[in-house]
Amino acid sequence: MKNLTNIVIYSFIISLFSCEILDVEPPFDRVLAENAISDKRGLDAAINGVYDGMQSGAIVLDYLVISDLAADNLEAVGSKIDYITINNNDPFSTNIYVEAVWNAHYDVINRANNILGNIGTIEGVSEAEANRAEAEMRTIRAICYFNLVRMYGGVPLRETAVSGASEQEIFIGRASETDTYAFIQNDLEVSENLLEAAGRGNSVRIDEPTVKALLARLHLYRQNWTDAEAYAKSVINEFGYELVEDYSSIFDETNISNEIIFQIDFLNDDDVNTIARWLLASGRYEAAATEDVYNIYDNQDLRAAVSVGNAGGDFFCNKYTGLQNDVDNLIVTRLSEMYLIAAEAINEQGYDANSEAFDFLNEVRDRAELSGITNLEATDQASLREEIALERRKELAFEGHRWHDLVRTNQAQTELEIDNPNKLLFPIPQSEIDTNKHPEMTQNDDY
Amino acid sequence: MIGTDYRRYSGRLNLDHKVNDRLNIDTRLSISFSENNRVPGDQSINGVLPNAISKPPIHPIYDENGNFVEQGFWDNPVANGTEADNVAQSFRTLFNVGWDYRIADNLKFRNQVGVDYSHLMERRYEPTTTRRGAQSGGIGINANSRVTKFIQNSTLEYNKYINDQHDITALVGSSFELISDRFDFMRGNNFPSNDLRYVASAGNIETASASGSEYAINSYFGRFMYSFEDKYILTFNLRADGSSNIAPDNRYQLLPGVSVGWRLIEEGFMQSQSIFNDLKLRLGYGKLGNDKIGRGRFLALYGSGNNYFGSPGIIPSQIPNPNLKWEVTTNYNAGLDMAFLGGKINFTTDAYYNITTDLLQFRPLPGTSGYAGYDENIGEMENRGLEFALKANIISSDDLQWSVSGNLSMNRNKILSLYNGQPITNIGRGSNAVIEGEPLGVFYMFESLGVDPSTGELVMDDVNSDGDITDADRQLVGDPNPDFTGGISTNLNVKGFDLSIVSQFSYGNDIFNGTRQYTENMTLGSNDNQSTRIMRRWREPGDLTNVPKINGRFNNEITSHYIEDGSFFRLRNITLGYTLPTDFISKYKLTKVRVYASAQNLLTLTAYSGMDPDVNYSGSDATRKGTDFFTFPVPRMYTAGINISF
Repeated sequence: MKNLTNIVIYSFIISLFSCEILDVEPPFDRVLAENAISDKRGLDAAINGVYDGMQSGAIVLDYLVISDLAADNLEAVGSKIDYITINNNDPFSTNIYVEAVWNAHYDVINRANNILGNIGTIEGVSEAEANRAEAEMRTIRAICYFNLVRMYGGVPLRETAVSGASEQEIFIGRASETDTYAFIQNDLEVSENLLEAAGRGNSVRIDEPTVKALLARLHLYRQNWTDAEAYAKSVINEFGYELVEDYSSIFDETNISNEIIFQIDFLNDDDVNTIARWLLASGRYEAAATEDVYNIYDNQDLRAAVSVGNAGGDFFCNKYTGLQNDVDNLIVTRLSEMYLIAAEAINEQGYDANSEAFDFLNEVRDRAELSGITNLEATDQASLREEIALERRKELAFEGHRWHDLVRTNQAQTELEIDNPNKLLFPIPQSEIDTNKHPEMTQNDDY
Repeated sequence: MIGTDYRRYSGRLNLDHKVNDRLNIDTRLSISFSENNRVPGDQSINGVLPNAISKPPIHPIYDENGNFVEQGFWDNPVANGTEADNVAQSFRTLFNVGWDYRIADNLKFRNQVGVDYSHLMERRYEPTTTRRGAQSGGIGINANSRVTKFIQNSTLEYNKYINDQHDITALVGSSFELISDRFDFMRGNNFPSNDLRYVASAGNIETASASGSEYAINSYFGRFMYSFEDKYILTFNLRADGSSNIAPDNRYQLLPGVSVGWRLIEEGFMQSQSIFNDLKLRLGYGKLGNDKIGRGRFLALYGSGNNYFGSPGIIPSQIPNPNLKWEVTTNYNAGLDMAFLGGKINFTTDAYYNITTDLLQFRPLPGTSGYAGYDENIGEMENRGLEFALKANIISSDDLQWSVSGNLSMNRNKILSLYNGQPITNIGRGSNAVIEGEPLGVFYMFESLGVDPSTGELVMDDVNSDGDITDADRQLVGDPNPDFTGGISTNLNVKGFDLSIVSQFSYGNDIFNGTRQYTENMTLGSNDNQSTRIMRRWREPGDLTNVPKINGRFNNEITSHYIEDGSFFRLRNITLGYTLPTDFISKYKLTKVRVYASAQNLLTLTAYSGMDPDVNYSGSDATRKGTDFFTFPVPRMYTAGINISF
């Protein structure tokens, strides 16, 4: 009996000392932030995590679709209510795509900032590895800010990772459009230095030519024509890319064509890109290709059938066809864009009947098996400008360019019949306005 | 609904052993297994119901050869319902061993340890005869989730009964629970044949994943009860609960409680009255803790599985909240229990006031932070309520018993404060909101003023009168919380026949009918079937109607146009039974035979235009309330049966 009494008392005492049992492990697929990036392996994983952020549906699907849906290449034909208002160029600030695109880009920016703030402290990382990591992170951040500034105007510039939810840290105001572009340019130029002579990689991660290609595009948007021309030519001439003969091979989900400078790549055992489901007539067909875009291609144009499909009068984007495994890639930039940037940048510096602008333009046309534009057809700067713009639309349809090209060349209002110039910017998401009370966190006009 | 069935097997074993006068050992074991064949994707766009409603009737189900036809945007619902597998097997076993030891006559120690293990396996297969299956050469999914709960508790209890007057019970104890979850999931596609429906046969594994998490809660508690002649009953409670979900600095929360019962009927001054047969007053005060948030939410964490190009990736997934603490609800209540007419009528009424502090909510952070939000104690909320219950045993003779009972509840909920007064809006498909000064989950959206007879457009209330409808014009347009709810039921027994009727009602709750946002939007080019209401749409200037024109600007938006009164009265259950006379069945060595028939949800009276006013697409989520989005209605069921006892 005495033994039993003792057992009773012991078990009671043991249960009183059970405080540490509340220190359970975090969920098993998580790791404490302080231990996450402590060596080269952790750094590599964190970098992959940033590219993973670029695989967000809001970036590879929504941003891409919006860029053609707001313009004249796509139209909403399905059940997605928030596609319809974007199609009509009058979305609300609660539009789920307007919000998703914003959030997804800042998510990537925060992931990149986490690495940028840690690079100096990681053991076992060589200087070359650290430089490469910094360049990749700065460039990916630049891509995000570039996407954002094109859509929303000047945006808040986060340069460091968010570590807590205090107001000082969470509230942030918008920078001007000029400052946003300057920030992007700085990130790209620092990256360019860090990657100097590093050469070309495998096209699924950021490398030296990627940075140069993005600088070419940036200078095109900023109308720094000589810089745009120089960077575009550098990418065309120095890295061994080619305009591949078979246009459709560019969009092959499984093989990377020699025209791709940088793409967000999907493998079938990883994330999915459901863009084909959304756009194919045999999929959910939420957005159709317009009859207008169907009609811009000449009959003999090799790009016609690859770009726009026709299912008995239902026109659809045919560039993304990975319906089975959802592995369509997001092409961030490819060589023919550089040809078209070179052509445009040269023509904008002044018309010359024998200028290289014709050559760059006609290389792109030649690959599509179209005859070249001659100085008898494009007899002045304006008519050549028109030819280049049309070629851009044909070549880069459904690749996330159309709306931004119309806006940057001041054609959007007339081409798309938009009365109110304030509707050329998208609204800042209402969720941001509601939660970020910084006095300079302002809504765009007329939203 | 086509393609659903359910089977269940269970067993139970209890073994008690009295070792000696002081020691008792008891064991409990129960095991159950069920298999449930379901239809795919309830509540999702791939579900049978949304496809059946939305698919325009011009698209046939079968072709002339009897094969399924897939046309248009929506899937063939019959193909999805009959061809696809969606099987859930669940297995649960509960095992407890307890022993109690009487240390002294008035002092008893009890200890119990137990395991509660449940396992759910889900298998799905979408064959190539369904649309999605056809796109991927068949899709197969296999998922397991296991929850193991370890429980231990110990109590020391003291009882003393003095002079037949003073009844004292004192108890101290502790309890500990560890819940350990594990899950795995795999999905493959590209199957060689529709006869091979398990992932083993898949040509391609799309996804494979496994992980788990743990949660522990540890409590110490004490209770003191004192009762004087069953007239005055006093109870004190004090507990300290610790949770692994809460930040280490605030891990334990002290939760006191006290209640008083006073049986007035026992008092001398009540002896001279004849109205009450029983009268009891109850008063209570107590605190309750809530730690129901995700696990490890106070930590700064990186997540994994965020891979790129075949290499593993990690991402910052969560910012820390080292101040995270328990949500505490303080409850004040008062109640009266009454009996009249010799106990034939019982009436109970309760009033309560609950105030919840340190409300645990997911506080949305601005997108620019890179995080969707984090768990924080962000505010205060109150609930005030009244409850009434009446039961009348109208007739209770040997041959005939008839009773009627009813209850009525009113609850008023209000958010008292939120972090920075910052509202949380746009929650879920029905645009619910959490706003200071308003009930939890109110509808916050554009207010539709009706159809303009000159344009056919829905006119929105321009709250700030700036001539433009923008998101600044959203306002509070409805409340999914009912003004009151209740029920009436009755039981009648006559000579072996028994009849019971159970009904319930809800009054004053609004529903956002999200289905109509699709089936009445009249958007040209849209693939959705449209309801017959659109026959009454606006067609030309001067038409007076509440259905807007085709392609109207706001037809697609979340507006109060789709908000409806969700009040209803429903016959929940009617059962009619007959018990065979005992002298008849005793010849066959039977002790009881009863045959019965019952009907569930036979009748619903409501003005709500959807299929069922008593539904919510998001289950029991406290903030996503009152929204119908192609939600599966509560089924009407008829059952007949026979109970035989030997």
